[in-house]
Amino acid sequence: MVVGRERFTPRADVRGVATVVAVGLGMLGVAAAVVAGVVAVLRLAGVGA
Amino acid sequence: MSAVLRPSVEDLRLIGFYLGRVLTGLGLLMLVPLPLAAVLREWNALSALLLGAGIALTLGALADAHLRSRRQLGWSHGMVVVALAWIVGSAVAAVPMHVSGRFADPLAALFEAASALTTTGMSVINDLDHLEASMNLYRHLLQIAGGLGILIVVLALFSAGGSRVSTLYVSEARDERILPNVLRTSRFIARVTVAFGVAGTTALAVALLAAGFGPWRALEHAVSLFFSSFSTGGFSVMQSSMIAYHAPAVEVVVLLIMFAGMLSFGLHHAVWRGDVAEVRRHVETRTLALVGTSLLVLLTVGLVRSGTYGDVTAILRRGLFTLVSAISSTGHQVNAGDTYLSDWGVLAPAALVGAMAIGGMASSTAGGIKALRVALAVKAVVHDIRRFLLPESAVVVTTYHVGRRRILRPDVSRAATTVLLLYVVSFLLGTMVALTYGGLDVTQALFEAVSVGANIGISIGVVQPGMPSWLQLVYVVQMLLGRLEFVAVLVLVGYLLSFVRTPRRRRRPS
Repeated sequence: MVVGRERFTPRADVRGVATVVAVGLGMLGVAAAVVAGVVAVLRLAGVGA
Repeated sequence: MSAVLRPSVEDLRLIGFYLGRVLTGLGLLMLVPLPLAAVLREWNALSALLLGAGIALTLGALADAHLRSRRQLGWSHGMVVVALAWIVGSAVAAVPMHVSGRFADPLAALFEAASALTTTGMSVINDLDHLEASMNLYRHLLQIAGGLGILIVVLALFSAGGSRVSTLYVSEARDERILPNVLRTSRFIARVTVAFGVAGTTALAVALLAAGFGPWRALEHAVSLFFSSFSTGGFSVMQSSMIAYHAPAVEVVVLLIMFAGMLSFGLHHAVWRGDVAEVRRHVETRTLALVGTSLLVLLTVGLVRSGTYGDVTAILRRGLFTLVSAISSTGHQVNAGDTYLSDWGVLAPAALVGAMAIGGMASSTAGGIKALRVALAVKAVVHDIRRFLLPESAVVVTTYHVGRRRILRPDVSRAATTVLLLYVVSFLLGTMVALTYGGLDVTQALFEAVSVGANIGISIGVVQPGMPSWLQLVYVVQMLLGRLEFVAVLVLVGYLLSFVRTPRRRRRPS
């Protein structure tokens, strides 16, 4: 990480936090889909039913 | 080459001087909860914190007055200061804890302080549910100070700046170049932390209010949860950790804060600059996405096969949360510790151990081996295989993306592989010691050793008030080694050995 001479504004802070939260929510959504998919496949295969 | 030659008095003065500054910072940190203790009339905690602050500030003042040196801080000095800062810092930070009377003995207080400063988050405190709010705040402040690097926080504020500080910063297990200006970097880290602090604490407070908490308790728990989640430490306000809340909204907010905490500050910087595409390109994001998804599949299969949880929602709330808690190295628990080995079958705990070992991103508050090292080690193996398979005259170049496209140099891959190997050795040694003397079986010993050595904090119940003293000591050593990523501690050991093994340095002619 090389921090330059950028001057970040409060708006950049809001945008930064919002972006990280959006990426995090997106990853949680993907994770939920993966779990749902794996559970569905396992149920179809008769595992853990 | 002062680590090889016997250190001179000037070397020791320099190390003592900077160690004193760290202690001064620690002393000031102990003053922060005092107003809260006074308002809430928590006289026991107030006197304990005052005593600790007095000792730390006195030691710092003595070092400042008597150990000033004109000598420049070198790499080996920086490493030794970093290693000593965590060791001595843990001992001094333990003073208020011991004096508070909440711990069985001084070693238990040292365990708690080391657990906080290394952001491990395991606790041996007695009756946590009735701990004074000010002492609780102190525990969580220690975590955020440890997570952000106690040295960078203290020295960035106090030092005149320049190359001396940057030497320390690079030593503190952050292996990217932080230059051109470490103070600017520190301010950026502080800025990101405050931004997430405001947003995270507000969101947590709202979620806790919605869950039925009163305003004061909601605020207290929100601040503590933010500190322990963003620092990826994992201390909790209540003995039962996250189980106590029974609130999905709180769990989602904590998940997001843990996610933010495990991201490297380099990635935060790219996001703050508006370069969101860096998130997709960064080698650690890709590694964590790949490894995390694989572990999640393994965990889900394991949980379904074990039949512990009946539906997707339960697997998400119990399984996914725990996996993120493990891979981010936070250690918040939404399950009783003993269920991981008794109810989760075989595959799910294995996935959890894998997640704990790997940890989050380099240059973040997270612990563990780090995704960067795992990626570089794998790339180095692939690089060697390609060299075997291709004609001898072929030039094999392997690259990775961190901020920009970089060529994988042999020294970089060697450093990554060495530290990775040292982590594995630490896990195995911790396992063997617990197996030999602790009366644990292999899975219990391995689970706990990885959790401690990677600074995670999820426990199957071995770490608790009244655990064997020698095991506490072994875990303290493992926590410190993991946090300092071995190199600084090894340099300190070399420094100490040099007193025994090498002749006194000859005085240079002036």
